[in-house]
Amino acid sequence: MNNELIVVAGGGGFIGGHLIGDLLSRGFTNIRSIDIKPTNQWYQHFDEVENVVADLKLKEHCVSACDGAREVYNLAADMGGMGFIENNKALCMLSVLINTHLLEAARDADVKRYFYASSACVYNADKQTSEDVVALKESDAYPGMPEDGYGWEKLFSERMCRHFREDYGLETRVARFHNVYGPLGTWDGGREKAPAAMCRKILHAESTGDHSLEIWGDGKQTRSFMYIDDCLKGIDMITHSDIIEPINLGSNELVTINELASIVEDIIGLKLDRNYNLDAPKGVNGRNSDNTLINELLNWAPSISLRDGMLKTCNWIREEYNATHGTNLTANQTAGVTKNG
Amino acid sequence: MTHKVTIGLPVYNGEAFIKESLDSLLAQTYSDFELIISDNASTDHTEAICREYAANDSRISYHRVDENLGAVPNFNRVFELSNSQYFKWAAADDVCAPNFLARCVDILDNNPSVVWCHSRSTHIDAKGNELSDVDAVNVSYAARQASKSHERFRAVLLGAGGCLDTYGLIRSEVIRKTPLFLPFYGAEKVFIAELALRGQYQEINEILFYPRVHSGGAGNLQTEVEQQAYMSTRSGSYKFPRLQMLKGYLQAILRSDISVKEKSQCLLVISRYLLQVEKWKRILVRTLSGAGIKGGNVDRIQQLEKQNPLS
Repeated sequence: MNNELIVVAGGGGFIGGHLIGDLLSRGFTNIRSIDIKPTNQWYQHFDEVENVVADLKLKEHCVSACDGAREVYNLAADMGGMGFIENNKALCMLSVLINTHLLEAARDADVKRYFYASSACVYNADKQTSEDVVALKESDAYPGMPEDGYGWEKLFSERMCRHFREDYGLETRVARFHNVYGPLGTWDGGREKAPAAMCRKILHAESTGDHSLEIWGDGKQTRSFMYIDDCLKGIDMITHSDIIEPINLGSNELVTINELASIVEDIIGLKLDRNYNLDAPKGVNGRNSDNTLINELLNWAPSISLRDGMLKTCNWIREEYNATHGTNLTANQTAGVTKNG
Repeated sequence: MTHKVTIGLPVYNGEAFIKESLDSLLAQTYSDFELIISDNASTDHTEAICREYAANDSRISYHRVDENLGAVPNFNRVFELSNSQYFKWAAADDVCAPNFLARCVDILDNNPSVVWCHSRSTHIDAKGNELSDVDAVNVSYAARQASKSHERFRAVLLGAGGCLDTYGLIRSEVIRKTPLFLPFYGAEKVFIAELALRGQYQEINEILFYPRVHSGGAGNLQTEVEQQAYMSTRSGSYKFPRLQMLKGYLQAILRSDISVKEKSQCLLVISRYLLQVEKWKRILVRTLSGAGIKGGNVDRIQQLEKQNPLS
């Protein structure tokens, strides 16, 4: 029972680690987790699964990785926040080797289901320049003009999944992730994304008593953020469905960065003076996930509210912050009572 | 008196699992249904089992034919005997969760545009253990939930997956507009394609249906001769099932009341279907060698029964 080998490529990453935890909690025990990072740098490490450090850009490592596998989740890619992908385009594009070799190895190993994690970066950049945010629907990816480097690689790899399905019968499924956040992610050091950064900054303000908050840009740029639990549920549903075309997996709860700051202030119970750093990078003006198709096809779409997800994320970052800084910050007793009390 | 739902259960020599199947149907939390059993001249204890159940529950009516009609005529017969608003086919070896019917009735009652609905499914083996093979777990036909008829039609013809939704709850008035199951192996795909042309599909995002994979199951007949013998006792009249299916799809499109534009898009889907050159090459080879359309579970069962021999 539940004993078919499941391979998670990128199992040392943020989403990969959560995926393995989720599979274990659902009774799957035969899991192989593969990542290029040394195991002490993995986001999560589960001793009960097979943990392998390997470079999946190499074909022979992919062949070993897929040996005996019935299901492969490819979450492996060289990536980071906007700052990283803007400055490392060649490196991002080299992830094409991972998907190429994994697809070949999966085909040869007679893998039954292959999941590929794509990204909202595949969308035509022209659709994201306007101040009025237009939610991105799946067909907006074509004609192709994705984000340079990273986005091109994702769009090409999506397409390769399709043709491996059509030509070789490998059952591929593709989801386009939009801004995933949650506990056990990066929260410090420069590669963290907006939700975690906001928690850290406001906790830092609480800790130091310096009640100023720096916001990149004018704070009016909009985003949507998907809580990790919604992402995991979506991966499972899409992988086991008959949806063979790439599909959005993201929240459509659109917030401005100012609104995100207010939510976190409310959770932590602190009101700060905002300074807008108009010289800092702020990314695209706005981007949102159009969930019409996923709602239609799965009767479901990510639904965990930003407030609920941020409460859990903040609580985790607070513990990390306390452990790192030797502080003793405690949860605001009234936070989130309306929905979680 | 007429019930809102009819469950039609065609059976032939189903003694191994029929009790489990009947128990799961009688345990449904939604109880306003009749259960019509049509026994296709079984030679095992099926008749005795069914008569005993019918004596104990007035919702069951047991019908028996003297000579085996073939599977398709018997499948169609249970529907022809019914007269209710909603219909569900049941197999003598499958299991439904207790709330399966209640959830399906709720969907059809509240969504007039939905023609058929079903839950996600997980296959079980002869002993009732859930299989863990990725193709057997959490099976979903989500792509059939598309809003346009040609998109649903495409999902059935070109998309992945089988047709477990044949065992979902279906509006009887829509079934009446179809020719029911045509007399060839794989007819359920043509039937579901026609439902797709006639309205929406809705899927319950939970696993409430447990189809059984076992060596006596009809999905596993390998050669065309076996498949024909299963479909009908009159042998020899059904050559080239793939071509029969193609004809079935085309007639379903012509019969439907969708717009001319939708029809032409469905014909495009058919042309894509025909352009799957590799697939047709394989079919030609199989046809010439006397093998039938692939019965998908044989390898899986052989492996399973090797590991876990039946007592």
